[in-house]
Amino acid sequence: MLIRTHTTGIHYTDEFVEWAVLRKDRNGIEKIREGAHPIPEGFFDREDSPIFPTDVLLHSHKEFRGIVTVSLPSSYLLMRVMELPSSDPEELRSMVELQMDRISPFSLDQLAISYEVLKQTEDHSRILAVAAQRRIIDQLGDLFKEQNIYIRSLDAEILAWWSLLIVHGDVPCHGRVILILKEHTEFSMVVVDHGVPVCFRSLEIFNDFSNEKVFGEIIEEIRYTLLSLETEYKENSQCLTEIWSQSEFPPALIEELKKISPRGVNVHDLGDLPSLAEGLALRSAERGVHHAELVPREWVDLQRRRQIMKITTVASIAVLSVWMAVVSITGTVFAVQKSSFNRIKKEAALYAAPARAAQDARAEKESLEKYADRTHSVLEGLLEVTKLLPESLELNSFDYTKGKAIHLRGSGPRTEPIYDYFQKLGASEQFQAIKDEKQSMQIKQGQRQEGFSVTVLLPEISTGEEQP
Amino acid sequence: MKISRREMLIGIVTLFAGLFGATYWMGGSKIAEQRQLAEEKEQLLRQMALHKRIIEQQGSWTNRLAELHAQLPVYDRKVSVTGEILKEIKSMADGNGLDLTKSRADREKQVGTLYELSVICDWEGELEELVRFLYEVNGRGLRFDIRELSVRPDAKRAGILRGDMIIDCAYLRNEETTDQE
Repeated sequence: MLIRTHTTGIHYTDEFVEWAVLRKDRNGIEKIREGAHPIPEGFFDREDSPIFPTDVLLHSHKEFRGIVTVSLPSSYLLMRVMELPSSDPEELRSMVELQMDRISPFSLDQLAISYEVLKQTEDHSRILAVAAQRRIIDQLGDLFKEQNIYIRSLDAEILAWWSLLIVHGDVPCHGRVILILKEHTEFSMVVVDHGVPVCFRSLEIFNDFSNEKVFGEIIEEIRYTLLSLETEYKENSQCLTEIWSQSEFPPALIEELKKISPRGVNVHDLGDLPSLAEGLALRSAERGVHHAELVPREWVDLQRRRQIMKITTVASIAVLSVWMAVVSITGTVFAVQKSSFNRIKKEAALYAAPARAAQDARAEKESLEKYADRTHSVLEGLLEVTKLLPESLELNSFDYTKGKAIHLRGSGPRTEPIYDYFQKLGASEQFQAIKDEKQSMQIKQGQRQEGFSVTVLLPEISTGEEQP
Repeated sequence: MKISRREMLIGIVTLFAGLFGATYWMGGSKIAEQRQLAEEKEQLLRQMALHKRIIEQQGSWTNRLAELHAQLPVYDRKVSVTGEILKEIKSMADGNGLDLTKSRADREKQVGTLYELSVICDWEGELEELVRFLYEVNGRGLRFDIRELSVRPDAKRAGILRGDMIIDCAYLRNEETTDQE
């Protein structure tokens, strides 16, 4: 379910066109805006006047939101309350079409048929069947299309009034009540038994209160209607008449009505109820499965397609915009990075040659330092080795490698001087350490001799500079 | 043409995926290139910082290098110095009574403006003669440096020592010095 939906109701009278926009969300239904435009005087007096003065909505259609609902007055509708032995929507639809085909002077293909459930049990439904000529509906649709308004729901005006009366709790729930609605475009009656309508009838043909003879005809029509209801809903002579009129109701007609209403006649001002436009929007917002809907299926499909196309177009533009933004931003970032890289590359090149020259100079200096350092030269090593050599020992070999080690081999008559020699070599500040000290006995010219070998480690040549 | 909400959604998602997929497919190499550029940039920045530090510190060793250069002989670039050096070493050995039985020079190496030549010599003589020779080599400063020396007594002759040595010789070349100046 969508988080919020909007419905717009549009209703016209012979004096003005009114509209109301409702918003439905989790918190309920709220009226967000409404308006009215006057209809030019004499608009409906012209012979070629359209059925709806859509021209006055020229500048208002941008205010409309969501499902646009328009109503047809009872004078354009064929209405019948039916008792049907089913509660299945499909079955009900078939039965309604069958019944309307039987009672309508027009063929089914010339009609738009719908129904509204008034009362329902598990296997029984009381419904109001509604039919309107396709010609009228198409004409209405074309008129609105010219103003770029697409009707999504087509309701019966009398049902909208009925819904408003129910919402405001103004319908007596006991006994039989005759509701008479008198408004600019609607003059009709609803017979209600215990709060549920049993008959809807248009009285539009009698909508001329200037001639008092009409009053008698109205009373006759009401009597005839009540009589016709007796066969199906039993005789109920204890009627109460409730008149809801937008203008002053003729007192003479009230007196006549009192004669057929033992429980009396009450007159109410229709202005006490919300506007019919609001009632239409409200019905549309709260519509259920069994809701009268005269709008042709193709209109709904057309609007759905238009909506889908609109969403598709907006979504495509959004996707393309996002894509273009991503491509542009990425391209810009890439260009900036490339430019930054080139700048750094140029800057780095400026330092490379001087740095290389400096490194070469340092390598050269280090190389020369090796020559300059005589602390651990071969001469110094030889002097130290011979200086520390005990008199009883003699050296047989001396192998010097600069910065690494001196390998010594020698011999003597006893081992003690050899060990002393090792000790002195190890303690000398000239050398770093000694290793691989070996001593072995050997026989030379028949005499016992003690041979030895030792490796004297020299300090590694230090450059004396920290490498950057 | 009738399209449902589901088809519309699929269409939009397909458009989105197709557009971005195609863009990534076509621009993927650019992304890899950018990554490589970023890595190279980091490397360049590190290298540049190192170079700057080397340049800043070079003063500490260029002065010392100049001092050391002053102690070195300078030869003409086109002249072979091997003979001259061998002659000089021979002269030093002769002067101290040391007998160089065999001498050979290694290949000349260059480090910056400095040239190095290693001379490998077989020698024989008494200990005193060897010490005097070594002393004189030391006295020549940077020019000569004995890298390796082996000493062994001659089995046939009492008091006579023999062995070999490697003498590293350092010098400069004329043109290089001029260039540097």
